[in-house]
Amino acid sequence: MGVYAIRRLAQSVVILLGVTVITFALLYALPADPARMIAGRSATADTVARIRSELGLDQPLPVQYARYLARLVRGNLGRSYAQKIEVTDLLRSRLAATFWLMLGGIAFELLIGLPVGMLAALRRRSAMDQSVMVGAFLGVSAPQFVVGLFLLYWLAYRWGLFPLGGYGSPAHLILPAFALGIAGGGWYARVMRSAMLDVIHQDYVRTARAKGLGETRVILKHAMRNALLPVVSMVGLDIGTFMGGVVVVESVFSWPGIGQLAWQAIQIVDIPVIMGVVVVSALAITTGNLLADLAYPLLDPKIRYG
Amino acid sequence: MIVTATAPARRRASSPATVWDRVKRTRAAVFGLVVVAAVIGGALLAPWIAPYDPARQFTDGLSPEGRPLPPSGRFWLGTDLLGRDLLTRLIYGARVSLLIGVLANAAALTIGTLFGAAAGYFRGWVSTVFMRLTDMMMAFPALILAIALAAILRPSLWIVAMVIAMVNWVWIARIIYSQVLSTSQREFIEAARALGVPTWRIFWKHLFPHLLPILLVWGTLGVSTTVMFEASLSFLGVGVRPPTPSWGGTINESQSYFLEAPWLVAFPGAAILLTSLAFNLVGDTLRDAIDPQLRSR
Repeated sequence: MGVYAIRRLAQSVVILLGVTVITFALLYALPADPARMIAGRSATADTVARIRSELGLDQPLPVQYARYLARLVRGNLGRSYAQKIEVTDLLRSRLAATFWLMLGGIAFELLIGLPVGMLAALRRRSAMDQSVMVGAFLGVSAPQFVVGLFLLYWLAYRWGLFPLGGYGSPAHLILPAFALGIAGGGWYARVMRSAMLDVIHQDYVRTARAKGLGETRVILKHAMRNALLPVVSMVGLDIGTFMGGVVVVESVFSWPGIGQLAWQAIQIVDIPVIMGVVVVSALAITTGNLLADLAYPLLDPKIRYG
Repeated sequence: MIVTATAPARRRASSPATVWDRVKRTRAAVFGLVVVAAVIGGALLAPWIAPYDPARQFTDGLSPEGRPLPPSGRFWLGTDLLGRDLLTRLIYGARVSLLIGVLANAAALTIGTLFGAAAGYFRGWVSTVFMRLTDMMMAFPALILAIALAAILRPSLWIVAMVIAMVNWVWIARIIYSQVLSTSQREFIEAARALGVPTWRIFWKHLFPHLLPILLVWGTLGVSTTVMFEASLSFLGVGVRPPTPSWGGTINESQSYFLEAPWLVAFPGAAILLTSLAFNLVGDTLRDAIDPQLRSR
């Protein structure tokens, strides 16, 4: 386990390095000139050249990258071109918002997915099972921005139950978290259902029944624990993906997370900010994967990593 | 306790006839097929079945105050912000969605198959490099990357399709990789290799037919992902450029008018939902039918 964890950690570092190389190359190879963007339309060629050399943009790409990396390992992501603030400061204020949204989104995924998937498995082939599965597909196929806009329209605008977007209180969180969680809820329901069906016919479940345990106890204590395994790894992945920024939902609800930050930075080609978000996102996604992998043997003693 | 001896489970793809039979028997899949046919039909026949011209701005298409009109006998789904017929725009929008869906998917399947098959067949360092590369691609925040590329590259239909393909091929590649890994160890491949059949021929004649069912399944499911992805890009304003009609684009344009004209979000939203749902239902049934081992019961 220890060796495995260290090897996976080392792999993650390599992956992250690769991500920075590719993103850096892509962003700086694209036909957008940050120096000109900063200087503005009416700037003279001299001004543009001066800004370019101040930012080190006149250096060859590998030199620029080496400098970036040297700063990155010291936790310095550079300064925003547009706002003249350290990127780390920008990110810090946004990460909290993204964190809450991630938590809320995953809570809804589990709240929807687990009971629905369990019920479908226990009432297999019933009308409910079938409608639940079509419902799960509906959730998966619904575009987040449409769901979000309609939640805003009915629950916030028409009925006034929730604030019309924004950030600050638990009430602000519910609608965006639901819009975010609905698709995952559909997936979780499907995975939970088939995991439950796998488990329920195993010998140990039969044993539990045979020794006279009540059905509720059999299901909740014995069957569910194992059926939850695949869901655990999905949660790990989702922690990463959601922390990596949920651009669409954040944009619909004007949620000030890092997805919004990325989106604003992209529109003005604020490359240090874009780079910063990508690095943080990739870090979140890799950590999420790592967590999912490492949690597995803790939950399932049958799995041991050498 | 009775022990029943069962033959070791063989991963055998079902014949096309059984697959079709199963699809026919699944109500959800039939529904999906009908919707898929309708969307494809609408996209192909758009100039003949759409009531108006998609670019035409009607003088009576806006209310006296300049607001879009709700659904009526003249404009079945109402009009958009510029007084154009929404139904017509949606029918033409199917073209963009499907074209991008097919292009992006075809590209993702091709790249994914090439990489995945090569890695699974040659193993060794090729597969190590492949695994690390795909790990890396999976660690990318896909949507952020796609938005950045699409925004900076001035989005066209091709760019949007290629950006989506670049993000999606990894998943296909991983699936193909594991399939080839197991198939290439089977006796008939070893026999072919022992007989000195050239590698490209082994790929094409012996391996590829085993990948076709998987490609069919993921190709179908992939259209759904792609349609959704394209809609998200358009919604954020980095999809195909207006005035080209697109579903996500219509929602993006109408977003600020949403409270007054909710149909401008509802109808394109329903189009995206139905199309994505239909391809999901068909793909899921195909998967169950083609690979009994993966059947989700």
